[in-house]
Amino acid sequence: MLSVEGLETRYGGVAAVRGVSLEVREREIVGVLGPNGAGKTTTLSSVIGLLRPAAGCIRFLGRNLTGLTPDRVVAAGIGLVPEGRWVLASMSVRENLLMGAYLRRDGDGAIAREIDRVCEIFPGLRDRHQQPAGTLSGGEQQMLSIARALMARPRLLMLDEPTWGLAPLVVEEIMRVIKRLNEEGTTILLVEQNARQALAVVQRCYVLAVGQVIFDGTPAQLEREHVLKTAYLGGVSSRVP
Amino acid sequence: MGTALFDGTEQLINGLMYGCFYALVGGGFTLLFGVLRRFNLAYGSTIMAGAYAGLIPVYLFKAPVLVLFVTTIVVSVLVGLLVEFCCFRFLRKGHELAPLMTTIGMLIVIDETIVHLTDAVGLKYPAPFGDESLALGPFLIRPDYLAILVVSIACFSAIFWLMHRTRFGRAMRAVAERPEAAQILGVSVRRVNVLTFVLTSAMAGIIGFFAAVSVGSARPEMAAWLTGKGLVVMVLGGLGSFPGAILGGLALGVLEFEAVWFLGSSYRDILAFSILFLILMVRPGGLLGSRPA
Repeated sequence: MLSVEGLETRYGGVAAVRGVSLEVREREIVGVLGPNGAGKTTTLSSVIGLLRPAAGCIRFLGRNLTGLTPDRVVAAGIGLVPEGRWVLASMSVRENLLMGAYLRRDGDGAIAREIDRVCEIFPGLRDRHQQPAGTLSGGEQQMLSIARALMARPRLLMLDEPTWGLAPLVVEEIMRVIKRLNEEGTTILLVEQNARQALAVVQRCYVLAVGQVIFDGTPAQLEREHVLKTAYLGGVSSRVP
Repeated sequence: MGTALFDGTEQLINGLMYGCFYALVGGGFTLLFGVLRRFNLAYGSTIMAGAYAGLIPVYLFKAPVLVLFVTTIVVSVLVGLLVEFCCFRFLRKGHELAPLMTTIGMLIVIDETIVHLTDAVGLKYPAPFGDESLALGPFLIRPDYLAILVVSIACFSAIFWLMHRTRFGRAMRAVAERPEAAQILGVSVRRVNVLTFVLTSAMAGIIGFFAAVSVGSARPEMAAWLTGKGLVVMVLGGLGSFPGAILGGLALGVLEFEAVWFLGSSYRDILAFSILFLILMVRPGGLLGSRPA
């Protein structure tokens, strides 16, 4: 469904991603793990079109998306829940959701039904339509950010550190939602620094370090390769059961 | 009522009405700044170009004032698109200061072109609202100022409706608040930028019409005058805050009218800028600004 080949993206003159290749198949949950600065966020930013790759190729559903602007990539069916959530703080919860449906042209009725649907997934948002998004708690903002991305009905949803800095209960809820979305047919690309969290839900994963893929395989395979974990994930390895 | 109090009230009314005009000028600067985070110093000359161009059908075909009005808007929009294309489109991300230079360049080009074409002589403007004062109770008010009041209230309402009730308005606010967030939701920032230029330039046309009508002529010094007032109002209201620009415009209008009446017209600009410094000392973010500029 999504294939990234030989991606190279520079960030202020420095190559943050150096020849990353990865593949996400329809209906999969794929994880991208790795320490800070490994190039995970840069990879997602390149796919969505916020950063222009210096080399490599990004294909989605048979279409070449390399170098397209984000509005074209989103229209092609990819959604991004960015690191740091990026909710529009001065706008209401409802307006944030409406912005998520920005490219939809199937009428106000369909969009209103979509709002009902995402509020069924995240009941915490239901009674807060008029509240400014900036006044929500961190966990609620994360839910809004996911709900907003869902408004466009993406075929592939990319989530960048969706559980970062959240309370354990909220983390559980968000992981549950990710699984549910996947079961309902959305393909998921999950970027996480917290390996244990991600390994519990993903079917396959990639490990990135200093801008390169150093492992790809199943969570079970990753656990068997202790050397890799201690070498590149450092302290994280001790938290993998 | 004492004479001073009576005069003061009359000037207050006139100041509020003319303040609406300043609010429109500042509002145009502010909308553009809010969305693009860039100053457009060619805005004053966009206004002036429209005001001059509106006279063409009048001089050539003795066209009615409505045609003049529509022409000012159309030409201002075209000039605004030219400004966007020449001064903003090809500049790279991160060069926040470059548009200061490119738009000053455009300001000079437009000004000089107009000076060459008209020999720097002011061109007489029609007076569609008559020149007889209207009585509002005991107070006398100018009919063109009343027209400014009505038209600016219509403009402000339309802009608030657009910003808060339409899909495009939401996209504009999203780009103003966080361009990358708008982008990953599918908003084309370039498209929003261009449409913001269309919107503010249409406002420029309306401003140009009333600027020339209230002075009785289109004059080459209009651009510098409007740029000064617009920037003062924008900073006074809080950079990027549209309600702030309205408040700033009204404040400036009232202060100027009172100053001219009680101190004489030579004090007008001194006072306007002194007030700017004073308010910035007390409220560094402007009247309604919260975001550090």
